[in-house]
Amino acid sequence: MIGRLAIQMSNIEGALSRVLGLVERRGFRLQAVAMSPCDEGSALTVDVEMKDAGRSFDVLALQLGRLREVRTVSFSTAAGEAMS
Amino acid sequence: MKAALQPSPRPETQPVSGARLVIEALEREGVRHVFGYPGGAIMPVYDALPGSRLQHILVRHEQGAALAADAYGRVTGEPGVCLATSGPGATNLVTGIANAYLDSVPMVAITGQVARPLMGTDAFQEVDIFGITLPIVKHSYVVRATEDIPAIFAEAFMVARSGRPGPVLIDLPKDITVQHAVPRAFSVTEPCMPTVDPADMESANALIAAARAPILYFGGGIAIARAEQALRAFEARTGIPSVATLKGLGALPTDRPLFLGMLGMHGMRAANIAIDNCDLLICVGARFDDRATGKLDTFAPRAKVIHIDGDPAEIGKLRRPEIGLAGDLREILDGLTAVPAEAQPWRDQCTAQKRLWAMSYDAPGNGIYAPAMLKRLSEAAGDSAIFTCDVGQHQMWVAQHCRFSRPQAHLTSAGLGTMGYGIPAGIGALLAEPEATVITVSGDGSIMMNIQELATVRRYRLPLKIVLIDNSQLGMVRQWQELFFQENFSEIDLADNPDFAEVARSFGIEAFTIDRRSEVEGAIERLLRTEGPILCHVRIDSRENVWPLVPPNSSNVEMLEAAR
Repeated sequence: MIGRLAIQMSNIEGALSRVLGLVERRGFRLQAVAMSPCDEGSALTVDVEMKDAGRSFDVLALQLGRLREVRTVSFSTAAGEAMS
Repeated sequence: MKAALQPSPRPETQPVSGARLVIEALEREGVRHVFGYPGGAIMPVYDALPGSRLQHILVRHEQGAALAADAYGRVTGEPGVCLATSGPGATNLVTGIANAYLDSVPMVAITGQVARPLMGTDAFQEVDIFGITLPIVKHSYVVRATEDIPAIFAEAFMVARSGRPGPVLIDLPKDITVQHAVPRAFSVTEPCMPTVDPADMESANALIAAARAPILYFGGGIAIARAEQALRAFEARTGIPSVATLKGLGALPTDRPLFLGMLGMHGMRAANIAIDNCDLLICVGARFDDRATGKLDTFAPRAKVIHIDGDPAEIGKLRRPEIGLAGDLREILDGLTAVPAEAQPWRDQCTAQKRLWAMSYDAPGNGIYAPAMLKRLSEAAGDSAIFTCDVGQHQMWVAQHCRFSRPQAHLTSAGLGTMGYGIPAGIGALLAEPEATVITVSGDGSIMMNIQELATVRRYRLPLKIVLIDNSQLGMVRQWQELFFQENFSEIDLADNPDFAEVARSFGIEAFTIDRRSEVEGAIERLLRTEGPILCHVRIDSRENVWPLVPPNSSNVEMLEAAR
């Protein structure tokens, strides 16, 4: 399954490494990454593919939400499902 | 998420060295003990240490510092602090940091770093400890300006202890600690717990009221939330039989009639059977870890699940619950007021299974049966004792056979499974709770991982009681090779161990060896009456296994048992 994460985050030291590393470690393959400045932070869009069918985008979003630099996370899938 | 602000302390008006700001920040957080080891890049901080209110505990290896800080954090609930220099000092902390991360223990790890102009140049003793530890910290910082030190430290302590606790790393470039600066004003934003939807509470109460075969499955989250009293009240109110994870042991006194024991790979058969037969699983502060669940898709196959946790990200991670309740465990447990009306037959069934599968201690022969010795030691030491363990067979025997009436009485490396945890953890526990009887149970494999910390025990005259169970093997590995690798014993023989009693005595620690069952009572009496540190070296049969055991990738009800 393929999905798109939209993340608003503080661009503090290590933020991008921490976010992308978490996504990979939790069982998702990075397909595309785009980052731009936004509201004293950064807006990050990450296209990911689920490597293991047992994983969930909902849980990934919650795990990303635990990171101190992450302000908001939302995701959408090719089928148009979305949550935040 | 709501936030509460913590105001900054009275600001310094004169420039102060970065090292002094570090010491002041630690004092402001109420830190009393720092576990560490000096070296080049962290020397300015060590220079500022004398005369402070901090007691520095000089360990003999940085891993010992991190593991002692871990145990200190578990006992006090406040971040344990460890301190090391750059390069190898920092990398030696890594196992201890990972240990704290896997078990959600509050910790602040401080590392020296080469001066900022040298960072990124492969300088002497430079490693990217910030990058190395990214996957195993709750958060981390590289301090880039001296004036930021008080703010970063205040935030680091808040992050380490708030919500689901964890380790936080602060990397301190040497020039930052030497330079003087007036600290900048700051405020700390504390995250608040998520709130529970009242409708979900109502649904959870309805499930409990209707359950005929409910089970309470609790874990280390109870101790983290300091929710023991709420858990005990819930259990008493509802009369729901319960099981614990390795980290949950002690949250409910292990002698409660409806407590069925630890579940999972080396759990009690009655606990695993109850899970298999239950119609409602109330999981509180546990995370469906593979050691607890066995083959996940066969775990509690007929049960609806209520999952209660302080961390929303744990809910639905491995088992999708009917109802997920993320928030303050105490408030949630207090709000679950329903009582299962028709559960008495189920209680009777669970207690009958508990009696049927109770552990037996009548092992044949005259050799020392470690489970019986640990059970007797635990009874003699009393409920206020703290046990710290290493990792292996002895760790499981402690979990199975010792009694615990509070979670802080059982310090064990559950998530990471760190051999070498036991002695540093004993040091941390004794400094956190000096009046406690602290007993480290180790094995002949594990103790060699951090045996140098006997010097720390001796230096600070810590009355640590060490029970070293020696089967001259890597026992757990041998057991698995025996059972699952066709007895192809590979690299598990430790017959060339040193004389451990002699080793302990060479560190200045009283020690003695026993190998006959008739010596056990005298040994326990000597251990408990000795005022200083002491090591009891216990030789046991190398063929002894830990039972019961769930084979890998099996359902928990497919437990193997010793011949009865």
